[in-house]
Amino acid sequence: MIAPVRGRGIELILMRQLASCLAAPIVLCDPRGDLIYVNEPAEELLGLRVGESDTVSVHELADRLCVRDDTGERLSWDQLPNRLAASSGRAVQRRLLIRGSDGRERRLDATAFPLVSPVGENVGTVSIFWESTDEG
Amino acid sequence: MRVKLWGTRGSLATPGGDTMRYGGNTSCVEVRADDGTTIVLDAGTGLYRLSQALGPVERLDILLTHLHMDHIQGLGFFEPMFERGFDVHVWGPESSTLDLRGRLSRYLSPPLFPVRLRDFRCQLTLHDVMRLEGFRIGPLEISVAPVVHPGPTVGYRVREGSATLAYIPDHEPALGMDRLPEDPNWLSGWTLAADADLLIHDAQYTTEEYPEHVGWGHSSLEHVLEFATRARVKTLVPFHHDPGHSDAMLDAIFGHWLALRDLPFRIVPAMEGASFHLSSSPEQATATYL
Repeated sequence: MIAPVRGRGIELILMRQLASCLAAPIVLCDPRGDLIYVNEPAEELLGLRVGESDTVSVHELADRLCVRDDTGERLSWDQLPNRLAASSGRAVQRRLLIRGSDGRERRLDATAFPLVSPVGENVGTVSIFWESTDEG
Repeated sequence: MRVKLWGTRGSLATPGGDTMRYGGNTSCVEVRADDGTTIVLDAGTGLYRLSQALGPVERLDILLTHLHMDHIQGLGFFEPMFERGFDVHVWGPESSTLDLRGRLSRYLSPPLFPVRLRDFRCQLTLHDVMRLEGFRIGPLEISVAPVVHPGPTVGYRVREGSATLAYIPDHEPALGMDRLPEDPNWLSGWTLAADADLLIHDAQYTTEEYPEHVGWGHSSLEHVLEFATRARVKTLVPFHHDPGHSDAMLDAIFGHWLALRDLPFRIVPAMEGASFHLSSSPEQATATYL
C-alpha cells in the first residue's frame, strides 16, 4: 500500500490564493462544510478570524455566528449555504442574519458554490458574501 | 536508486555553444531502481539521447507531469516506441473532458506530427493519473499529486526503500502570494517534496524576472529555495532552466544565491548528464557526474 501524499486539493489551494487577492468577502469550506479559510474582507464582514492552520466545524460556525434566515428563524448547520451547495452540487443563494464574534448584527446575502475537481470530486465550497441593503 | 538528467531546459530546446554545460534539451529524467527497473520522468527532447543509451530493459514506464510540448516532444523520436511488442507504459494527467490518449493524440497526429499514437509498434498502455494517489512499478513506489501550473499538471514522488526522489519540474507554488503559506497543507507540492533526499524542481526565473511572468506556472530560484527549506529536503536540483539563460548567466544566478544564503540543504544545479545515486541508507544522497 503506497501512502497517499495529497494535502488540500489543488483547486482549494488555487481558490485560496485567488480569494486572498480579492476585495469580495470569501470563505472556503472543506467537503464536510468545515470552514478552513476566511479572506480579510470576510474576516471584517463576519467578525470572524481563523488562523491559517485552524478549522472551524460547520456546527461551531452555525453557533458562533448565530445564523438565522431573513425572518429571524435559526438555521441549523445543514441549512447553511455551503452545506446546501455541497449536498446539492449546485450554487445556492440565501439571505442570512448573523451575529459576528464582535457582537454586531449583520444582514447578508450569501452565494455558495461547490468546487468540483476535473475528476468529479467535491473538494470543498466557496461562499461569497455581500452586506444587504434595506432595499435588498 | 540512480537518477540521471537527460534534459534540464525549460520551455524550448536551446542547443548551442552557450548552453553546453547546463544543457539544451528539455525535461527528461531517467530513474533506475537497484534491480534495473527503469522509469522515465517526462519525455522532452532529452528522451532522444536516452533512447541511444537505454540498454536492455523488458519494460519501460514514462511518467508525464503534463502535456506541454517541452515535456512530450521526445515521444515521437523514442526508439522503443517503434519496437514491435516492446512493453511501454505512459502515465500522465487526463483532463476533465479528455483521457490521456485523447490529449496525447492532439500532438501525435497531423499536422503537428506525422506519426499517430496508434502507429507506434510497441505494446503501448496509457494510464490516466489524476484519480490515482499512488502506484507501484517494480520496487518503485510512485505517489502522484496535482500541483500549481496551468492545465492538468502533477508532480511525482518516487521511493525505493528509504530513498526518496521528488520531481516537480513545472510549478508555481508562490502564485498570488507575497510569501509561501506557513501551513504546509496550503502549500502546493509540499506533500510530494516533504523530507525528500533529492528534489528536482522548477527554477526558471530570477527574482527580477518573476514579476513579468506571474501565472506562467514557474518559480523563481528564490521561491524554490524557500519551498525546499519548508519541505526539509536534503538536496535541491534547480531545474527547467529558462531558454534565455546561458551557462554564464546560470553560473552567475546560482553563484549569487549560494553566496548569500546559508541553506539547510545542498544545491546541485541541474546539468545535462548529471547522475545522482540515492542510497537506501540514511546518508545524504551523493551526486556524481558522468
